[in-house]
Amino acid sequence: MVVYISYSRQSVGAAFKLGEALDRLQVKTWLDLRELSTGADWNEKVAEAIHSADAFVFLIGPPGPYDRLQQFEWQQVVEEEYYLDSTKALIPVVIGQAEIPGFLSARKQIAVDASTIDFEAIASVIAEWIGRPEDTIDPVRLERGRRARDLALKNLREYSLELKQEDAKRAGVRGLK
Amino acid sequence: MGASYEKSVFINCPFDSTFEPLFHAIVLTVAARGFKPRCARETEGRAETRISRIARGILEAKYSIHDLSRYQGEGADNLSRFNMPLELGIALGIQYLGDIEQRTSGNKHIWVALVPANSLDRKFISDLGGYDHRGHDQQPVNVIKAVASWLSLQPDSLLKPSPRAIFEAYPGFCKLLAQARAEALGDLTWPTITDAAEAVIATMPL
Repeated sequence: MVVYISYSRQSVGAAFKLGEALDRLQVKTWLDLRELSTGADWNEKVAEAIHSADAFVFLIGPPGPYDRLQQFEWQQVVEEEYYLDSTKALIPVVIGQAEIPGFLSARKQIAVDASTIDFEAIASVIAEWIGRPEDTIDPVRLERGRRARDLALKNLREYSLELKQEDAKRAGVRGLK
Repeated sequence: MGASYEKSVFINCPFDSTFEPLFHAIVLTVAARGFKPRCARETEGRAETRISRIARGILEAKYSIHDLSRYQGEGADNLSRFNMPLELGIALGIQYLGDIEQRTSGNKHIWVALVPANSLDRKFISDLGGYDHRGHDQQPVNVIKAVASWLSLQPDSLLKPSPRAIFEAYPGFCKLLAQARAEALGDLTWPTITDAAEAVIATMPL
């Protein structure tokens, strides 16, 4: 089993430490800076590694500027639709107050404070969860997503109604003229 | 900024009949992922100038989608359209302003450019290098995939439906729109489109 580690470039140190902690637990990891040599086609190699990975850890945050490389990694996972696959463990490790991308919204999260990250403890949790991928789906978050769709449909209905009322109002004013 | 802002996606694309199937594919995908699709058509008929209506629409939305796939000259004068890049420029301005003001206002703007699948955007709008645009080949299925995959990366997106499920629902959406157009003797208003999207999405499995 290979665990792909995706990280924001602001948390490269954390990614290395987490990779080492997982190695100590005999969990094989793939981290671009360790695996790729200078001059390698990063996009191509990363896409291949994501395609062949069995599980994923996403180090998200701390909040910062647009990170093209991490966006590329996320995009590969999304395009393969792994986020809809309950046999793939997808584990977000949220550093600080970072926002979770929608495709990870139904997964159990590990929340950490940037100043006090216990890599050994996080690695232990990850090692346990990757053996039971279906358990990385959080039923409470999944249910919250279902309710969010109902709310979105209600909002869309109200929006359409508002537009029709505005159209009718404008047509009435024109009629008076 | 309220919930409406967080959930609004402004769609900036051609509104002609050739592009219409792709516009409808974008609208359905945006709505299916729990967002409120918005565009310049929602304020048609108002006295305000078109560019002002578009700028306000982008400002009122956290997200915007800009289709740059029509980059070649068209018509007898072989003119290319400048409207889409102009309006993407407005979105970029709002994004940078938001980056500066974020700590106080909480405002933020996130955009994506839909570009031709042949990667020619790297030549005709090379200053946007460093951003991951989404390519498509003018086919609704690939527009749905491009938009759904981009939305999946955003924190306000629903997890489902999958791009496949949206594409499977797309013919039903087109059928509803065709019926509505026939009933209105050729006129298809923006609220009719959003109504049809809501009706189709409500029947999609979770």
